[in-house]
Amino acid sequence: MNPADLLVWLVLLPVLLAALLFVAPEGWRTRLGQLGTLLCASLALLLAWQVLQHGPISVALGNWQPPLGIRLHADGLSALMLALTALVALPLAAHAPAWFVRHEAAQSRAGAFFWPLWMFQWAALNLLFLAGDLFNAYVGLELSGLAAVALVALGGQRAALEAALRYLLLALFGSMLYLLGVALLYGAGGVLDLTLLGAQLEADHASRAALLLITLGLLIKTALLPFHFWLPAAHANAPAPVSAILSGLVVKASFVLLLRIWFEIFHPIGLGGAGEVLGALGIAAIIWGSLQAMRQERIKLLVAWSTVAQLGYLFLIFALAVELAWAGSVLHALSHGLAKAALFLAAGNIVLALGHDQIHRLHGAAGKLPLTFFTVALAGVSLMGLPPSGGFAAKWLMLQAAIDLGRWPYVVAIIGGSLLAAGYLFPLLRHALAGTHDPRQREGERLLSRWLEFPPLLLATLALLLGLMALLPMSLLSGGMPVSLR
Amino acid sequence: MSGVTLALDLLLGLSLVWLAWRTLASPTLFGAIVLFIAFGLLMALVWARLDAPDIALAEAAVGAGLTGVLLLAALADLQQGDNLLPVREPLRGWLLQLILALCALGLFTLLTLALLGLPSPPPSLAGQVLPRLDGAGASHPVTAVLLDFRAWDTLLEIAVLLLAVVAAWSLGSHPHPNPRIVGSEVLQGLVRVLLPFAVLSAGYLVWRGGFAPGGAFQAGTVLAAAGILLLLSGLGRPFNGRHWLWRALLASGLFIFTGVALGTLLLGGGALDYPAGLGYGLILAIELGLTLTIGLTFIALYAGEQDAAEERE
Repeated sequence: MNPADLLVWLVLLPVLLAALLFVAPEGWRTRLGQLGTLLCASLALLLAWQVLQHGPISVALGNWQPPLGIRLHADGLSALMLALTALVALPLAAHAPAWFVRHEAAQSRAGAFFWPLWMFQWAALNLLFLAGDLFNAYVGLELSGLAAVALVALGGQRAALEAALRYLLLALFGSMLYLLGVALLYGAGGVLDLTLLGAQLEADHASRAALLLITLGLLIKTALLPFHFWLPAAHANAPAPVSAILSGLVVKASFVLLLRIWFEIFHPIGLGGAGEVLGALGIAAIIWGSLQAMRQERIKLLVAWSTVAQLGYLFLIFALAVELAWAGSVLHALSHGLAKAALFLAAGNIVLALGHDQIHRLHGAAGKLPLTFFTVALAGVSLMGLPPSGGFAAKWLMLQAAIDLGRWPYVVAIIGGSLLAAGYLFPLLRHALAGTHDPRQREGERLLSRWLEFPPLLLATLALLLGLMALLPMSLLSGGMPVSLR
Repeated sequence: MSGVTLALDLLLGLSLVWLAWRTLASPTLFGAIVLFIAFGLLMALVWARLDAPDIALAEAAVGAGLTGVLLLAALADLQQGDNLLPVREPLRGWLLQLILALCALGLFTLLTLALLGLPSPPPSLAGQVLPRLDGAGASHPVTAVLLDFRAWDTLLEIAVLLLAVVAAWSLGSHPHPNPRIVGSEVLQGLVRVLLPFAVLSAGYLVWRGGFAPGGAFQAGTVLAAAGILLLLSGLGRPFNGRHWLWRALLASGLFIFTGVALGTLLLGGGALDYPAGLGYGLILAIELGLTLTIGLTFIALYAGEQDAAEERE
């Protein structure tokens, strides 16, 4: 297959699968979904391999070149994010069916609708990672937002529906701001292609206003403090496989788009001051998210607030605009994606097995679910940034960048953030490890199958291995660093 | 611009803002919906004044017509349920209101500055579209952009439409909201007369889209309107969304579009690069599929996955 064709397949295959999964009788969906996952994931990994071997790949759809046509573009960043999505999707395909069968609170229809919705979401993610056109990216944002909202609502309970509705309204508001910005850019320059826009951008009112609107819209979707308020409820009340998708992948897609727009289009008009604001908000998110996570009494809310904190790290790049920090930021997106997906799946397992999600009632539950709590600990190692995890490598790179630049507040924030992460993860493990668990089967307690326990363990192991193999993603990134980085 | 048209434009613009404000300030949901429908109709006029007849048609049909029907149906559902939500919680605290007002003022200033600074005439790709129409599968520039130059966007938008149905149905079925009007002889007589014309105009709009304003979106909404009238009059029953055949029909536009994209890719020409000579035929096939999908999508959003009465049986 022509490598350029892979880009088209990576978007169209999940779309086709989503439609087929919607039409197919409910009995076939799990097998079809798993088969489709295998196909899509292999294509994504194949593309990542191709980019590693031969460098970036572009394709003009319908052979109409920009500015008239639409371009898809796969560089190192796209390849890494596509591979991350594939690596999360594979274990998820094993875990999700088992979880939906076991979870009674989610309606029976939730399991049936999960597959088409998730395939639409996957198509949207792939599209956003490959988009070379601002309006095409808007369609991707709409597809992703709508699928994410419906996935949250699969939780079925009142809390999930309320969180989904709030998420819908905010996601739509964010899309509207983004679209307004894109319209302004088109009105000023007459093109939508990212590269062409970057080449002809002028520092006038229209482009500044457009940048502000686009940034605000994407910040709402990425849930950077102070726009984080929708996230904990939405991510915590969704079914566990959905939480893993949302926290691990969906918030990263709008972040990657923001990264491209800032560093590939808008760098000529000088963004120093605005970048400092985003960096400072990132620090604030690390602190506030961690403090809130410490206060939570429910496991899934703790994990969701931890996402708010960990997303803060991603935004340090806007203040520390150097290559080291860029690599650190992308590596952090990858390691958090894997570790957080693992943690949410494990949290879902704990709720499933114990019948409750109160942290202080865990009473040595680790004795009952050793594998699941081992997964929590492994994922925690990456979130806290302890060696040799991917989280460690990412934070180390950012730390080095901050020290090189002499930016001491950022040095303190990066190290302090790790301590704060320990502050919310250790109590969880302490409750689970301390005390002896009553060996008798309590009411509501059940055993977990290996389909539930091994997928999150695999994800947590991958997050750990990422630190040992950090050179691989680095070599993918090294060719495609934006010229705007110092 | 003559004085009369300037006055007309000013009147249109001001009424639009006034209607938007009244919609938001309306004390009842029903009043807000009616005002919103009026807003959509006025918006369609504005698009027509801006020389965008395609958007005007779509706005009138979707923005005012079908959205209005969906909102009214949702309202009927809300009123049948016992858990009526509070209509409006006023924003608490003058400080919050002040901050919001300042934000809105800031945005307004920013947008005004930005718009005043835009080049005139605005740069656009129209100049590049027209000379290439010969190579495209449609001679109407809007259709050529939607189904050839930027067909990729349109394909994914159809995916969004199908996703909307999947998302709505995943929430569960809801009671079919027409118990009172069923059996009205006047309505049934009217629908019997209108239906053939509606189907005919839908077909005409698709065919016309190749060379003039029209196309699948407008045709699909006309079809949807006919379907919803059929349901409202009681002459038709909602289809059973559990059946795979109906679902396949719902997705038909997406299947055809994706099939064409992947087919052209497999034949070696590049995705959505229509082979020479086949462009018109392929675009027409895609448009027919899209018309069916768009029409059924709106009906599906209106009627739900399955008739509640049927489900009880």
